[in-house]
Amino acid sequence: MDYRILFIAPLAALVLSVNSASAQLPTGWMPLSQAMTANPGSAGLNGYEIGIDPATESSRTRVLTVRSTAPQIDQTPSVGAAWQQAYGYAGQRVRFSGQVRAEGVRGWAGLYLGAGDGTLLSRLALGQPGVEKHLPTGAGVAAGATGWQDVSVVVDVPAGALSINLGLALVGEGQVWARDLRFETVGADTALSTTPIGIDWARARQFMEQNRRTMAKAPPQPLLNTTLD
Amino acid sequence: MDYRILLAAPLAAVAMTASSADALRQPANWYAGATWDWPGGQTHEGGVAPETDVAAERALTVRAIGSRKPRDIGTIGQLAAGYAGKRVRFSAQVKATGTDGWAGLVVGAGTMPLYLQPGLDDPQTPAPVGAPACAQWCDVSVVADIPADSDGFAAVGLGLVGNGQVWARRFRLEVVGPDVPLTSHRFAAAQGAAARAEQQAWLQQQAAKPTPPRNLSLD
Repeated sequence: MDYRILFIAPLAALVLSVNSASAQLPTGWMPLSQAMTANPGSAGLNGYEIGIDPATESSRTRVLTVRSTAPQIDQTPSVGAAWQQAYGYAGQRVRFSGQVRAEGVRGWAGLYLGAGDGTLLSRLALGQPGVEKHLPTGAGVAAGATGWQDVSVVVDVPAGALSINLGLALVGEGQVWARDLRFETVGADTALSTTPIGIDWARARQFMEQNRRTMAKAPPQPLLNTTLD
Repeated sequence: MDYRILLAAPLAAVAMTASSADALRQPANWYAGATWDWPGGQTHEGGVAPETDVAAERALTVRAIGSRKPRDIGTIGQLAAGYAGKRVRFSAQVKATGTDGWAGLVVGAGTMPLYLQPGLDDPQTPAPVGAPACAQWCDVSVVADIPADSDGFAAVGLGLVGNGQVWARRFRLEVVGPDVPLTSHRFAAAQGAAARAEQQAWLQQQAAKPTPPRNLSLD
């Protein structure tokens, strides 16, 4: 058994994909493709397409989309996202809003916002230690809903938070679209969102721990391809 | 400088497949990666040294692309499973030229590529250690303990900090006894600290005034 295979998925999970999907992204946006696919050889790298929906490329209202492209394993969450960072909002109440629609989602899809850096969703989907203390807030597409929906996320950025991370995310398989995005500071009279993004970090943590235990029992593997073929 | 790119780049680089246009051939099971400078891109490249590719004995190489900063790091290596609680020795013949930082063999624990490990400062993972190359081919070995409570992966490879080029051949990885002394030199410790400090300073500067997300109109 090649024990490396067991850890390909977690390793690939750290990938912020720089594959062809990134070419479709509008300026300022970054892709996250962290797919735990049934074929571990392609995990992370080819699990999501992220960018402008080609059908809207030349239209007046361009639409951002995240689409899963490969069957995923169920034991741990996969996530794809188009994301950005914003800075200097510590201690303020902010709102991230837009119109969102989804199709065929097995998991969660919507807008999210949370204090943290560009690794925020990646660490969450790996169940890394401490992620549960600062879960990003999410505004998901309601189950069974069709057509465009107005969604918004309102959070208080913690004092001392140097950056916030926000974007459009798809957890699991399916496709999600977003348009008419806005970001603004709001007053204390605007109600806070209370629902976290739909990433099952506990399940991810359990999966990673099982993997770790399995790997710890593996016999020593020799170096491969020392002849550099 | 747009550090949003820099912050993302270490993770992007975990793809290790060096999606940029590498001139060097990538041997199976070995993974090259490097830090990322804005706007120049990847700072180093790694692969099979072209001048050895048709020889009886091939060598891996890591070389700087252009003029590099002292904190820039490039590595090529692989992960070997099954070493939890074991002391390992990674050895090879190594040589380097034109270096102004450090070049040599490196061993770390875990699945994170070696070039990323110095910048992480993860208290859960021991710092990677290294042994330097010589000006001409010489035998080099690195000895490290892989924690018993870890996943058991040893990350082994060839590293270059700053400018220059390094080569390695005749690789061996073996379990050794507790009587074999550990390598004490921490690989790129200063460079990792410098990168973290630079990143933190930039974040502090950015956070001094609101910087909203860009291009929400998706132009």
